Amino acid sequence: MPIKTGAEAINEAMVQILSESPDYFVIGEGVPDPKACFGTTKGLSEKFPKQVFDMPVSENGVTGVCVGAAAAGLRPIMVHMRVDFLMYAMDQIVNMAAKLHFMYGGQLKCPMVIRAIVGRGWGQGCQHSQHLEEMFAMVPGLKVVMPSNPYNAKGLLVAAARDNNSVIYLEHRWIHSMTGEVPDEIYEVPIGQSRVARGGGKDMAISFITQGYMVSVALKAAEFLSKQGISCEVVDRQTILPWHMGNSNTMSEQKYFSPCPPAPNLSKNHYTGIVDIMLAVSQRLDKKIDFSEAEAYEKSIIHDIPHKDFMGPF
Amino acid sequence: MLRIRMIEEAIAKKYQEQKMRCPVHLSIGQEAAAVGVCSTLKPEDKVVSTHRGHAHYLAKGGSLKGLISELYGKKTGCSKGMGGSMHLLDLSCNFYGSTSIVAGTIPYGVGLAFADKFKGSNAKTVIFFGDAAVEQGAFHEAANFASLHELNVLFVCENNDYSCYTHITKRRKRPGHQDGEFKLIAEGHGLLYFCSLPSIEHIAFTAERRSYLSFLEIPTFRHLEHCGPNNDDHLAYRDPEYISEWRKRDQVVACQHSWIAEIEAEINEAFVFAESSPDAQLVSAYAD
Repeated sequence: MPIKTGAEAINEAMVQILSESPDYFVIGEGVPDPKACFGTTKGLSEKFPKQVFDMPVSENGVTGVCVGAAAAGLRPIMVHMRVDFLMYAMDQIVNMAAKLHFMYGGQLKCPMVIRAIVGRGWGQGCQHSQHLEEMFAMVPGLKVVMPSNPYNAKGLLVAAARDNNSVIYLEHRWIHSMTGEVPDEIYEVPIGQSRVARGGGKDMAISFITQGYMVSVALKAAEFLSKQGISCEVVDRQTILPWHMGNSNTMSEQKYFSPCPPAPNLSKNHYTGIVDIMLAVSQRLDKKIDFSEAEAYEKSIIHDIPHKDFMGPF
Repeated sequence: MLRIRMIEEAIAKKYQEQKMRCPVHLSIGQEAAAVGVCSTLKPEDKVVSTHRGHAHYLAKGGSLKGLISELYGKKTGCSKGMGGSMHLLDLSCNFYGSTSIVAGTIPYGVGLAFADKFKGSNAKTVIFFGDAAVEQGAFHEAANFASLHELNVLFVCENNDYSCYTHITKRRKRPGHQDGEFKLIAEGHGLLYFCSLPSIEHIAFTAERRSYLSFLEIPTFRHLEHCGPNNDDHLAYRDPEYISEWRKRDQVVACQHSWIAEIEAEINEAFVFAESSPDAQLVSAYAD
């Protein structure tokens, strides 16, 4: 299999995605410039002159433009040289891109990829080297992915572009120069799947669950630890949101990953209630609990206005 | 205008029953802007709006049953009960959505216009917003993008002087558009100002105008409180003279007309439909 750098893998994915449909367009500060976003957008404006745009330095405004374009049937791919710049765009990401499908009852969708590069090293400083993936992962309606090597850099980008939701694609800048096997043909690494980067074996002592460039660091730590007889597993999350809660959690996934609906019959079940908390306690302590009193009490409360029992003084 | 007024008044009246369990920002007093602008549009043209969006939705041709059902949180609502009063949508008439963040739909509307240009369509997009939206960065960013790409878009600012209870002079050094702030914007973006509605088609959407931003400011007056069904003049945040001046200029006056009975029947039917509709079902945050 051919060996490529992460930047080459991302560039190849961009070319193959743009070839796939005329509905895709790429927009970002410096996308068509000579540096081509660290080489990842190299040659795109020549190959696809009608689908590649530079942009004004207006992260929030242009994110909103992309949401509108996506609502009207296009498939935007935004590129940001640093994820830190995206803080300007949080309104459009959180309130529009993430909510568009939900707040109109599924009648619109927002198929958009926001590529954002995470800086590290050479004194990048506190505004150029933040890992903000968990912050984006707090927002229901978004998907968040983070590649750790050239192979999943290409596959996750293709999956993100073909997804019908807004996907935040966070690429650590040191992945750009990392080399690895990358097939020439177009392929997906499915969103929602982690991968075991190193098996812990039957003597596994500990598991590292991490993402992005940290996977490489964890693998090296596991290598040193194994020499001292400590067997470590390394899990590469690949997708940060949505994730699966497994069977041990009492809260339903749907509840956790849903924005709040306004309809009273639904908002009633949206918020965590007294019985929900007691159920979690019962499960954690593996103890039988009588819910009847709490259930009756909760039923007597109007759920969408404050109840006198919760108004203090406490 | 009369129809929208009567619908909004019916909502205000029925709101007291507390079956519509979502905030409402009624358009009473501001109907003319919606009707004037939307009457110049074709069905394929798109409109986006704000938290105070009922008039825009109705003027563009949005379903009345869909609106009332949405307020009741029903499955038959125009947003399937996932939106409420502030998130209306009716794609059948190209009303592309209202949202509850000030200026939030301005870049979004510019994006709709960008998609039309990208696809080679001549459809227009009209973006309604209030006076406070001009104070947001998103307005300026979107305005620049629209003129940069020469998009077929009209910005419509309904200026009712107040952001909730805060007068425009407490929010801006120079609120007028004759000089100062607006003029500076005009120099920067090449903003054009239009005062007469009949000329919108001619002056806002001709090809040579697209390299400028077409910006229409419509001074207007909100009759009721910012949010809710009541009059809040007793709070005395607006000068009584200002109120009476504007009330004299109200475009919807009491009249006897055969339309009234017809509209009343339509409104009653919509409320009966909404109240008897099935409850909403949760829609996934994610598209398939």
